[in-house]
Amino acid sequence: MAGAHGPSSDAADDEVTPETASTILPTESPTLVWVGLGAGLLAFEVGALATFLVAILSDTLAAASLPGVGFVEGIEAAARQLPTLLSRETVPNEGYWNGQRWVGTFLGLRPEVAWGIRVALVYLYALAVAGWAVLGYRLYRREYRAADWTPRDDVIDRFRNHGWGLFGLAVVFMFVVMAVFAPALGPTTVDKNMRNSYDNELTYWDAETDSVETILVGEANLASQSRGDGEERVGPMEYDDFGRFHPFGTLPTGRDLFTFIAVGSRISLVIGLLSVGLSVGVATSLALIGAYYKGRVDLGMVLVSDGVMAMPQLLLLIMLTTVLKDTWVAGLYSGAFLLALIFAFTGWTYMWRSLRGPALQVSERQWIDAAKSFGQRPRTIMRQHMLPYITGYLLIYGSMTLGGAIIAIAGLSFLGLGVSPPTPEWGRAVNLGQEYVDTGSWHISLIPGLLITLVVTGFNALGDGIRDAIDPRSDAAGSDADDGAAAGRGGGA
Amino acid sequence: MTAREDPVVSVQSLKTYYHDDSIVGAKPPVRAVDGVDLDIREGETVGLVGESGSGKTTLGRTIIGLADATDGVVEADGQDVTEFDAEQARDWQRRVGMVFQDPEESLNDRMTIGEIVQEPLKAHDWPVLTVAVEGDATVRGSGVRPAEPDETVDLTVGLDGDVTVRDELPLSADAVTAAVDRSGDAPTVDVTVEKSRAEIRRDRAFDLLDRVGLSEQHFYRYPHQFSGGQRQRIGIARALALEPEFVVLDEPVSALDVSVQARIINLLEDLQDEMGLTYLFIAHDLSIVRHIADRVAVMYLGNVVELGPTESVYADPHHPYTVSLLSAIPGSGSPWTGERITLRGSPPNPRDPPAGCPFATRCPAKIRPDDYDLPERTWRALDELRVVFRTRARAEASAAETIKRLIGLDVAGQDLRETVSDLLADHDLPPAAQSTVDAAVELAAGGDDDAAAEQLREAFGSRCDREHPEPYDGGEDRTSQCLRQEAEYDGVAETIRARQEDEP
Ligand code: SF4
Repeated sequence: MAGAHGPSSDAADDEVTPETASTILPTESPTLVWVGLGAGLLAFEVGALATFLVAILSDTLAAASLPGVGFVEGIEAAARQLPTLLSRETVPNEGYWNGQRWVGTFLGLRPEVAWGIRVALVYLYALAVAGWAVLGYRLYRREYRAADWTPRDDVIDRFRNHGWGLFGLAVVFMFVVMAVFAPALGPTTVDKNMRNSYDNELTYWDAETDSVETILVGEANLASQSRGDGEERVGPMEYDDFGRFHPFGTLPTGRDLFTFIAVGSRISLVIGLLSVGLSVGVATSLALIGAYYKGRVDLGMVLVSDGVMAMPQLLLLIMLTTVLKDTWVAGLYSGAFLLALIFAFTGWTYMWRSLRGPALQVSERQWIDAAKSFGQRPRTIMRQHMLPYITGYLLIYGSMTLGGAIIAIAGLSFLGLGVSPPTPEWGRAVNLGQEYVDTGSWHISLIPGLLITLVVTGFNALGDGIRDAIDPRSDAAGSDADDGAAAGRGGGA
Repeated sequence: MTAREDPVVSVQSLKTYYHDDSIVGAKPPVRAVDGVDLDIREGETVGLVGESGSGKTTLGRTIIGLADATDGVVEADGQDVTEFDAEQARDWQRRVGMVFQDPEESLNDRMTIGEIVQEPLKAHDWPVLTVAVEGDATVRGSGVRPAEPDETVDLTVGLDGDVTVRDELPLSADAVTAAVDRSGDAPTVDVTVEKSRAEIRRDRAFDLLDRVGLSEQHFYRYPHQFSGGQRQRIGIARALALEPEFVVLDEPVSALDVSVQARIINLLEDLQDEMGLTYLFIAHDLSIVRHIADRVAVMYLGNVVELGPTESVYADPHHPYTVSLLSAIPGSGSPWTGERITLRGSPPNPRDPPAGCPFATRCPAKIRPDDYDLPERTWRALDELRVVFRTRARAEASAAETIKRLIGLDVAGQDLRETVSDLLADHDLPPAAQSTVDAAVELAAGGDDDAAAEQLREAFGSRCDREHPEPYDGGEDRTSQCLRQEAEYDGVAETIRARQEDEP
């Protein structure tokens, strides 16, 4: 952790940063330009953001059964009216063929092209936001930060040259963007295609009668099922009989797999972040307190964590989900909140085990004594003199545990536990498709399975990258005797 | 430097023992500090010297409140520091400072120099300015409080609204306004400071950096960007941030290049003169403290074995340990002209110090009993034999040995007898002595090493093995813990010299 970042490295920084930054922002007041860019980017999504915030508010009020729900719902409706440039309404892909041309799609383009444009726009937008953030960081580093070199600069520079870590970052980025923009990415919506499919109608071109007809979405789904080969399936990148485009094909129920996956990524991410966030919080506080006070306090924590670790996680999960089935906790976000709580409760022990060593190590360093010698308060010592030295480990284990959580959630849905249907979840897609793996409908299980693997690998790669960036000495760890130690430290998930 | 008689800190029979934290199989505690008396007087520098493990750092840490005293008193201003609760300890730590040995280790390298130097200030919400008003008046205002009697006064306010600011503060009188309201019974003074605390702290940090020979441009750098000497300067600036009266310097230069050491020592001396500081300067050898210390205290195994004015101790060491330390410094000016005295063996385990004089196992001037007339080397062989028994007694017995002992079998008797005959091979023991040794060996072979050691002590031990010497007053403000201070014995130096001559 405390590697020898020589003063020489700041010389290199000095050369690179101002130069690149000034070519990007050649004006007198780069900050204003930067703020302007930010406002511009925000404008694209004002509507979505407002809807989102208000929706959270009304959900909270409803959950707590507080008054004012009606009022907030009013605002929610108003927020929906705000324009959102990247929405399905602005670039629609749902339409029908009227014999001569496509009606209702973006610029009259074919649905697949319209959908492709929307997806591309969303990702471009996300990239632009990321670029804007990077620009802001550089600007801060060049213009506002008083120190011209900090130890963190070295970490970032090392990460920038870490191919595997960058791959992980890219995968994680794609995944997070998918989760955040899920409603805009799918060719259709969960509400229309799954939840209320019999309340929604669909206009299509009937080739037999050569005319435009309407049908309930639910009935259209029944005719678009993927349950085998040939006629009985709608594979990836195909249209069904109703002119609907399915980038990943359809589910055995005829529903759209891509929409299912996009929305499912949200729930995975939410459970993952929530459970990892909670367990990181608990594990960090306990590790710091235990390392600071040592002795009996630490011993007590070892006992408690051993006790928690001794509980069989799966049985606990099944038991708690059953016991709490009818309570309000289980109702929150289709049971995802409860899952996150259970994961956090069983998961903090592993995280704490991994953090305890580094925390104990830092607590022996002399600057802790130095801080005590002038009467610094314990809490400040933990926060200021110990925490910075374990945040690296936090990021590493956090990232890897998140991957683990995603796989665990998928595994549970595969077993029929966990997130309650019909809320989409990747593991359930794998489960639904498993009967058809050896038929033409192989896509149902394979695509979500591959995605799970990719995303989990991405999170692990990100963790690896962060570790190598923080501790340059572990660079060599892949090849020689340090391997065991490195693998040991990486086994946080 | 004139040392006045007021002790800033008075250490009385202080004991600091370290206990193992484990609940099962607790070993006896490490007696790091084992009964120390030491007064540190205002304005002086006390050099505390001893090899590693002698407890000198623990003594410093106990005074500062970093280690818990087991017994005894550390008195400051009539209060016992060791009895302080957390808040009182904080107050005490505000008034003292500590500079650590390894500047690579004592600075948090995730913080800038500015943050490091300001940290003590922030921790104590510095500054809360103390205000003294001429005449009787109530003081109001944020960030200020009325000065207690005998306290350093930061702002002096006249009843005409005139303000004077203490020189050391980075605050000009223009930035302070005092509004005097005479309408009530007693006048009320409203003090407004226009400079924010953060700004005062920052300027104070600039000032401190300047004092230790660094500059403002270093403020935003990180410790990685500094050399060892510079880092130690930063550590010193931090220790002085809260204007302490008393500073513990824990081997402040021993981790530095020789070329840098002198400069840091000079800096410390200058700062002492400027700020009227009192130092406890911990060092592992006598050569360094000679330049800086007014008095020197020599520590061995948790005891201060000799204490006195530096020059006097160097010119005429009273304790055999001090003599041996000085003999290792060429040209120390000590009267010791003979060969360098190498101490036999290694220091005893601080978990199990000798019952009598702590130095008895290694003392080159140890008093011998009158019962036998043996050459010194034979005495030493007998001493060593006793150490063998004691070590065996303390060592963990293996399960096999325990069983053997229980059923009365010989416990490693063969090895033991070989060791003993090796030890005593070319020594002629009188028959009475020989039979005592044989009896002891038999006891040990039977498993009772304690009794064996005890038997040897009875037979060959002297007062040095039985009595823990109290500090003897050696005149000239000096004390030493050695029985040879008593008139009936020969002096330390002459004994050692005579014994050295005896040995070929
Ligand atoms: S008391 Fe005895 S053993 Fe101790 S220092 Fe003096 S002479 Fe040596």
